[in-house]
Formats: sequence, C-alpha cells, structure tokens
Amino acid sequence: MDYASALALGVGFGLPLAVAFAATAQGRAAAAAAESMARQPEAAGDIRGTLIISLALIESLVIYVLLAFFLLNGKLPAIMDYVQQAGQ
Amino acid sequence: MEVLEQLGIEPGIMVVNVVGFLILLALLSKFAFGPVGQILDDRRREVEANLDEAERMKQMALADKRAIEEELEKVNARAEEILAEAESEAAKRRSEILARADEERRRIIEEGERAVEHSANEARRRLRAETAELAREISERALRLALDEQRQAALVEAFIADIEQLADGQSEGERT
Amino acid sequence: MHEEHGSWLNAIVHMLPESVQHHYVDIFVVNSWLVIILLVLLAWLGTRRRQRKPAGLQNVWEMYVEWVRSFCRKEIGPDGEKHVPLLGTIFVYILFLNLFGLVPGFITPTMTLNMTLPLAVVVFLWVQWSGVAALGVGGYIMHFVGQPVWLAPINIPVHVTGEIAKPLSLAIRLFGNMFGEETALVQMAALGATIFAATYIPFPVQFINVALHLLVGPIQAFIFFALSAAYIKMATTHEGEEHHEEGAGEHDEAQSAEQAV
Repeated sequence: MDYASALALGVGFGLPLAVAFAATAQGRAAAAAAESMARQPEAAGDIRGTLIISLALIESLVIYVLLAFFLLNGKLPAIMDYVQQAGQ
Repeated sequence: MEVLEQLGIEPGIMVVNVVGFLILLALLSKFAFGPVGQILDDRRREVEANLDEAERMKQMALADKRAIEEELEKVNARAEEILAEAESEAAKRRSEILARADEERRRIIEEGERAVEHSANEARRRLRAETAELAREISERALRLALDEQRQAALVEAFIADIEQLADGQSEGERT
Repeated sequence: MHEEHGSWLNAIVHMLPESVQHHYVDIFVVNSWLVIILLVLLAWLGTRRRQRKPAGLQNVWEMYVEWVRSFCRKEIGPDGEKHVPLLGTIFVYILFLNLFGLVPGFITPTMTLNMTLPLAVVVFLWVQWSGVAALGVGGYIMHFVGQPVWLAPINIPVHVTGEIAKPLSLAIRLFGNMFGEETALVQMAALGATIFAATYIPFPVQFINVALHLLVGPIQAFIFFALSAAYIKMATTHEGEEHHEEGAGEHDEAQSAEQAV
C-alpha cells in the first residue's frame, strides 16, 4: 500500500468513524437529558442548556476531525495526476 | 506555516477583524448596552418603589378599614342600648296607664254604687212617707166609714205587712 | 489559492490594491463590516429616542439585554453583569454573521478561521484579564499551579495547554460548523444544478440545508456565547470555591423547589 492509498483510506474512513462514535455519544446524552426532563419537567430549562453545551463539546471533536479531513484532503494528489501516472 | 496557508489564515485579516470587533464592542456599549441597561435599572428601581408604595397604601387601607369596623361596632352597641331603653320606658308607661285606668274604673263603679244606694234610700224614704200618708188617708177613710176597732186594726196590720213586703221586693230588684 | 466567493460586495474588494486584497481586507471582512454597520444602525435606531414605555426596536434591545444579564447572573455569578457588553456583543455579532450568508448576495464571514480566531482571541484575552482582576496576580498564578503545590511541574503545562485549547476549540468549532454547513449547501446547490441540466426540472435540493442553516447559526452563536461565559466563570472562581458555590446553588434550588411545592 503506497502513501496515496493510505491517505485516501484515512480521508475516506476517518470522518465517518468519528461521526459514528460522536453520534452514539450524542444520542446517549440526548436520551439521558430527555429522561431527566420527563422526570423533572420543572428543571427542563437548565437541562436543555446543559444538553446544548455538552452536545457542542462532543460535536467539536467531530469538527476537529473535519478539519483534519480538509487538511488531508488537500494533500491528496489530483485525479488527473493519477490518470497520467497510470497511462505512463 | 503550510497548514496556516492551507486553512487560509492571514494574520493581517485577523488583525483587521479584531479591530472591527473592538469597534463594534465600543459602539454597541455606547448605543445599546449602556443606555438600555440604564433604562432597565431605572425601571427596576421604579417598579420596586411602586411596589413599596402599594404595600404602604394597602397597610393604610387596612388600618382605615379596621377603624371603620370598630366605629360601626360602637354605633351598633349604642343603637341596641337606645332600643332597650325605649322598650323599658314603653313597658313602664304601659303599666302606668293600665294602673290609672283600673283606678278610674274602680272609682266610677264606686260612684255608681253610691248613687244607686242614695237613690234607693231616697226612694225608701219617700215610699215610707207616702205609705204613712196613704195609711193616714186610709185610716181617715176607714174611720169615716166607722169600722170596728178589731177590723180596723187587722186591716192596718195586713196593709203594713203588704207594704213592707213590697218595699223589700223593690229594693232587692234595684240592687240586682 | 484565493478563490472567489459569490457576493455583491466583490466590486469593493477589487477596487483595493492587490496586496491589501489578499492580506488585509478580503470579501469576508467586507461582509463583516456590513454586519457591524447594520448592528450599529439597529442599536442607534433602537435607543435613539428612549421612552419609559418601550416600543418597537427598543423593546427588542431591552429583551436582549435583559436576557444576557440574567444569563450572566446565572452562569457567572452575582458580579457577572460587568461581562454583559462583551458577551452580548459576541452573541449578536456571531448570530448576524452566521445568518448573513442566507441573505442572497452575501456570504457567511464565520466560515473562515480569519473571522472566528480573532473573536476567540478577544474572548481569551478577556477571560485572562478578568481572571487577574478577580483573583489578583497571585491568585491567577495559583490557578495555574493547581491544588497540590508539588505537582506544579505537571499542572502548569496542563493548565496552560487547556487555556490555549479553549479559544482554539471555540474558533474551530464555529468555523467548522459554518464551513461544513456552507460546503454542504454549495454541494447541494450543485446537485440541484446537475438535476436541472439532466431533466430541465428546477428542483431546490439545497432547501433543507437552508433550513438547517437557520437552526445551526443561532445554536452555534449561543454555544460560543455560553462557553465564553463558562470560561469566564472558571477563570474568576477558585476550584474549591466553585464546588462550594455549586453546592450552595443546589441547596437554594432545592429550597425554592420546596417552596414551589
């Protein structure tokens, strides 16, 4: 496996992997928040604020991966280079 | 540095943006947060003052109400007192009038009785005088007719007995 | 490397010299200036004639300031009111920047790190300054040293890294969200163009992304604002004190809940 292939795999699978775990985590956070809101409707406002902030914190990890995705994406060689290489 | 370029980071643009943000911060503080915050503070103070005022007014109103209630109670007691006085006065007056009426009745009855007795006595006296007169005339007539003594005496006896009986019956009839 | 973004303001940028265009004022900066002018105009109109009974724009500003104030009091503490101008400006500025791209002919300036990093840096400096102001220089340094003093060689790098990571994460979160949103919007629009070219049916595929943008913009603005408030609170209270205050807050809440019942 050469450098470009590894890079392509990293770019392709890195972000979905992060999204999968982050989605699991966000789902658990939202489920817990909904449960506690149902148990204590009078504390719904506070719980909602905390939920939004924690969802943002989880999501920021995905955003970091997105950033890395863009950085690595820029490092991928353009497709025409490959076509030319393959032709030679 | 390559990463910075790839992310499109330009220090000059960042400085310009910082300056822009600081200008916005200054202008918003001057135009929005300062004046609006002052308005909000003023309004909070005003509302608090109004609430205090309202509370004070309420206390005053309650005190007034209590005073009025006390006054009303006093007036009620006074009215009851007056009513009771009037009632007792009326009862006294009634019994007085009744007593006077009773006395009057008794006096009238007594007077009537006295008058009746007087007239009865008068009648009896006149009757007796008339009877004596009659007896005298009768005896004169009898003497004139020259009756015997026994017969004359018996007649006079019988006659007087009749008169007595009559007079008795007459007075009894008058009394009833 | 300098791509063109579709905006009606491109002409203004093109009037500038090349060096200024690429290194000081680009199209995003011009858009953000427009937002600044708009906000200042709104503020000036809203508070020009102040009345005891508010009407129109003044109402909106009063509601906004009251909301920011109560948020600061709740999140930062009783002396949170002095952070109201900064936090209030941050929220309304980012909100308008995020939603500005939805206005036809303009673009979202927060989709570049050039826009979000300065905001984060300002917040960072403000947080450090209010930490010094609240705790004093000694308290500020002790904040970095941490609780067991002999662990200072480990604690200080950890805390310094954490402090620097906070604004970085703020900036990158906002940038990533808005950039991702805009990229998805562009791709969807391109998909719509492709569909149109193939079938001659104009189908607005990006419509759902526009709706999502309307949702994400305010949420990201709120998150930037709320996390800034949280960082200010962390910097202005000692760690032990903070726990104590949290306990007291819970106690108060329990009491008020009991009273409510």
